[in-house]
Order: sequence, then structure tokens, then C-alpha cells
Amino acid sequence: MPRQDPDKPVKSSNQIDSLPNELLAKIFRAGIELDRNDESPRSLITYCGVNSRWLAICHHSPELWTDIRIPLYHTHPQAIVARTATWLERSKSCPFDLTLVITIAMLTIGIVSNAEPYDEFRLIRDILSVLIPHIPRVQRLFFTTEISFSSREVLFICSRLAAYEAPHLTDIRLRFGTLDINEYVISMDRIVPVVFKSAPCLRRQSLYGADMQYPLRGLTSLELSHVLPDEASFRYLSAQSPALEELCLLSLHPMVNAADLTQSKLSFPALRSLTVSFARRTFAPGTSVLALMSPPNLELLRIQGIFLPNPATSFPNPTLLTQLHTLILEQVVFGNPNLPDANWHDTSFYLTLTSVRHLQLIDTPPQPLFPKQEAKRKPLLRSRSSELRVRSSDSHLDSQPVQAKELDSSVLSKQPLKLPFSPPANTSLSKPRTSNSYTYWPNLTTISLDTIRAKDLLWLCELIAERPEIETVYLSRSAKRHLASSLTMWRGEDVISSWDVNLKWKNLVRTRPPVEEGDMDPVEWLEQHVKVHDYHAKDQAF
Amino acid sequence: MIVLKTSDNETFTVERDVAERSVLIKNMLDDIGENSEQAIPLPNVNSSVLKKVLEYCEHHRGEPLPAADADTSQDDTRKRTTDISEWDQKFITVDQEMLFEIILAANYLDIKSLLDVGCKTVANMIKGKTPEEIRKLFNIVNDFTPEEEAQIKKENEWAEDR
Repeated sequence: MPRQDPDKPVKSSNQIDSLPNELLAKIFRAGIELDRNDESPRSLITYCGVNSRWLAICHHSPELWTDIRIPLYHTHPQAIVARTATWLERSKSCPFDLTLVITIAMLTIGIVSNAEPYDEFRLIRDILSVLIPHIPRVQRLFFTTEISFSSREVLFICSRLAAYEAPHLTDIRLRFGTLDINEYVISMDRIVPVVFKSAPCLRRQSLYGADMQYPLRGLTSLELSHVLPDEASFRYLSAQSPALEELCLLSLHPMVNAADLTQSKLSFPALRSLTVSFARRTFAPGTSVLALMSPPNLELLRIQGIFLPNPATSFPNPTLLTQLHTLILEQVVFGNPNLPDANWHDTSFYLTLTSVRHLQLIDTPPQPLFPKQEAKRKPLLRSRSSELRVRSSDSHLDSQPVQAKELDSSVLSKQPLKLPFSPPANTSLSKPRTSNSYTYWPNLTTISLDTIRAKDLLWLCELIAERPEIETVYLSRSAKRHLASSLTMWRGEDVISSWDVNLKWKNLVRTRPPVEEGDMDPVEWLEQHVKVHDYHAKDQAF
Repeated sequence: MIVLKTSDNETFTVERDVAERSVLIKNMLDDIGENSEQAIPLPNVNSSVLKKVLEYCEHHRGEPLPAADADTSQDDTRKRTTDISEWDQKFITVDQEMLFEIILAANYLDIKSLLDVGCKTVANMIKGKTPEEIRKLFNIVNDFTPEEEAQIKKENEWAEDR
């Protein structure tokens, strides 16, 4: 069957009408799911406006009306109240997700000329009066404000909600006061519920600018920002939430009292994902709560930020991380091993993570993670830029001429031009599978790179030329741009070169040398060697 | 090997693990027993659609079957609920008639993952479109009266302003 564009309308009949109602409802559910990350989801109201059948299906599918988002300031407050009442009614007895939002922009609505005259708190009061009878059905609460918890509006809402129990609440996500968050530190031993007085089914707790809401019991996911941990609370979490799968500690502070690291570790047997950033660079030995953890089934470790304490005393023991397959480093800056400085983060912890298969580097220079001796194994590529020449000059091997037998045949076999080192015409395009055993990252198969530095792309090409085991690469938009525009493999040369790496430093205006017949497009080169995908931060969980 | 018979009387001989991507066929095979050489009738699927469906089953053979009541509501599963793999995207790039036939067949044969791919594809096709554009895309007649349209518009006015 010839492939056709599904967007092309059919001429004769209405095929979509052949679907029964339950399938159309399923399509609508899929559409609403696509809307999840949109600020103003419109799919459902669009479906209602297509024809009477679509409208009837929507009205008779209560599960479609379970994503209830309420802006607590609006130019048409009465419409918001009516809409909330309508959605609650149409969701019938289904559990629903409730999103409450106050933005700074919303607070300026009062001075907008076309706003309906409405008392400052009346919308909130009216919304709550509509909402409160349905609170027992709330499954997830997302409350996001750009103003702090102590603001009048937030206090008003919370004081009303705090009188009610949420028997079906499984997920709470509070984001309070993004503007002055740095002043707010969450102490793990202080529990102050601000929204519902109890939530016995709670499984996921995510807090930003708010105190701990409920005991750390029965959780599968915990996310805390600006957190001041203590050993007792962590022991409680370990004992009471054995099914904890995700832990995210952002801007983590050191514990006030150092723990005895020789004591038995706190077991987190179900933990699969750990994300951490630190509030400061220096942690005294025994004050990092991470060093107390034993997460034997951890699969994903994400480390963010430039403030990174000494991994030897502040990170989990790397020998325990045998299941770790994904390492994500975001804005991490490493020290130069040639210029030792105790204050800079060193790579030794990372280089012992031998089980890692997927390495994601986001605004993180990759070179320190692949020490020189590894790079010397196969000097396939070199650079034209003086900066990189300086770097390469550290290695006598890098300066040697590249031997034909070391060249990757897949680059050459697509070249129309007969190069002096061309392999036989029937050379396979696939990369040779070798049985290399690498000192570092021996199981690496996937790299994600989000960078604005051309030399990181050059590094990537070098690495891929060296390691046939790498199968997949994810590149951010900026990385792709550099790959396409800053690197070139010139005809007759066996190298990919970066021609603009030093552009900023030298304040030179240079134009890209013209690409001639036979020159190799680095994008094409890369795509011949590995699967290349777009990197989207939100999708990179593997 | 399993023999499947379509509504237009064509037969397809396929390996059991491929056919068993369909819960309907799996249940039928369980009912009729291991050694039956009887062709399994599929009166709601024609040969061109079954051929396509079997292409999908062949590609996904061996993958774990999704649980019938799998909870897709948690955040960490949302990615899975909205993404379509590259191969699936290419597979489902067909004309509208075939797309809806595949959805119907996946529903009848109880192949959840294929049904999801089909539904997501249609949802993607209409995402961001206005009701009028959707009507045009699918050749749908607007049967609302002017009063009904006005009522719908009024109900949705909250979405127009902030």
C-alpha cells in the first residue's frame, strides 16, 4: 500500500464516523494527554465544538473532564467559576486532578481595563465553595504560585483547604514563591500541612517553598527543594517508605550534625532514580545525607549544578551502584586534572561507574570524563583549531599522522571522491564491532549532548570514531547547529575539523570555508555511524 | 504456525507468538487447544488490514504485553502515553481509511499497543486545530444549530481571555 499523508482529507466519505463512541473517546483521551504540559489546554473544548456527536461523546465521558485547572485570577472570574462547576459536574464520580495557579501577571489583572469588577478574594471564595464538596475526589493536587506561601492569597486558600481531608489524594505538588525561594529552607523534621489536614493515600510529595506536608510514610516519590536533612528523618524515610522509587533533593544542605559513616547504610531497595543538586560546594565529612544511602537498584543518577562537594565523602558509595545505567550531569564543572585545585569537582567518582550505558551531558564539558590515556588509543580525528592543537599537543600520539588503516571505512565509502586511503568499494557501512574493553565507561552505548561549544561536538566525533559500541546519540538544537555549521571534514583529509572554536577569543570575523565536492558533512558522517536523535530534556529519562 | 482467515476469505499463516500479540487470538487459541489446525476466522478484518496488523505484530513480537488495566495516569508514565516510537510512526503513516481500519482492527483483535498508536496518531493529527479545521480534515458535517454554536462559544469564553 502506498504511504499517504494522514493529514490529507478523504474526498468521499467520513471515515472517522466509522469509529464507535468508545474509540472516539479514547482518541479524545489521547489528545487530552498531549495537552498535559500546555498551560492552556484546549483540546477538550475543541472536540466539543466539532459536531453534536463529538459533543455528546465528550459530555458522556466523565474521565475526559478530570484535569481541572483553575487560574485564581482572571479577567472573567464568573466564567471561571462556571467552568469549574461544569467540569466538576461532568467528571461525575471520577477522581480528578486539581491544578491551582496564581502568577504575578494574574495579580495585575485588577488594573486591566476590561476585567470584570470583582472583589479581590471573591473569585477564590467562589471557586472554593464550588470545589470543596468534591475534595474527597481529588487524586492529585498541583498548586503553583509565583508568590510566597506567606502571601495573603495563598494563606487564604490554604486556610480554607486545611479543614478538609483528602482521602484519595495520591500526589501533591506545591510550588510556592519562585521569586524568593533561596531564602526558604525546608527542614525535614518539621511537618506543616498547609492544604489538607490528612492524605492517607499519599504516594508522591513534591515541595518547593513549602514545608514537609505529611510524614514520609508509604511514599514512592519525594522531591524537596532547599532541604535541610537530618539523619533521623532519613532513617524514618528509609524505614517507612521502602517502595520509594524516585528521590529528588535540590539545593541540598549539609546536615547540622555529622553522621557516623561507619554505621550501617540506610537501605533504599526500590530507589531507581536519584536527582541531586547542592546548596554549597563544601560539606564536612559525614554531613551529606547521600553518603548514608544504599540504593542497590539505582538506575538513574542526575547531578545538577556547579556546587558539588567532594564525592568521596558526599555521594553514595559507587561500588553499590551496580545497576546504574543512566548518568545525567547538568552544568557540572570539573577541575582540570593537570591543574589540581581542591575546590573543583574531580571526576574520580564518575569514572568508577562502570555500569553506565547512557551518559547525558547538559552544559557539562565531556572531555574530563574521558581521560587522556583513553583518547590515545585510536587517534582517528584531529582538529585544525589552535586551541585544540594545544590540547592535543599534550599527547605525542595525537600529533602523529593518522594511518590509513585506522580510518573509519564508513566515512569513506560514501565519498564520491577517491581518497588516497579509500577502502575497497564493498566495505560495509556498518561500524566494525570490536571487543574493546575500555578503562572508563566500558558499557557506554548512548550519549546525549546539550552544548553550545563546537569543541564538544568535535570530541563527540572523536569518541564515536574510537568506540563502535556507541549506537545512539541525542543532540540538542544548539549541538546540532554546531555540528552542522562549525565542523567540516575536508576533502582528502581524514579529519573532522572545527573552524570557529577560537572565533570569540580572537575577535576575528571568519567565514566558513566553502564546502566542496567530496567534503564530508559531519552530520552525515555522524548519522552513518550512530542513530542520531533530537535531544529534548523532558524526554530523556531512558 | 497459526492460520488466520480474513473477512474476504484470505488466509495468513503466522507464527504463534506473532498472532498472540492479539489477546483475542490468544484466547481463541487457548480455547481450541494446541494442536488444532483449524483456521481462526476474523470476520471483522479484511486481508489488507490484517496484513498491516501482522506487520506490526511481527515487529513487536517478544515485547512484553501491556497490562490490560495498566495505570497510565502517573507522571512517569505520561511520557510513554504520548510518545510514538520512530518505527511505529512510519508504520502508521497511511491514508485515513487505513488508519481508521487499523484502529478498528486493533480494537477488535485486542492489541492494546497498536490501538494506542492509532489513537495517538489521530489525536496528533487534530492537535492545535480549530473545530472547523477538524471538520475539514475528516469531512465532518457541522450539525449544530446557530443557537447551539452560540451556547458552546459562551461556555468556552473563559479560554479566550486571561
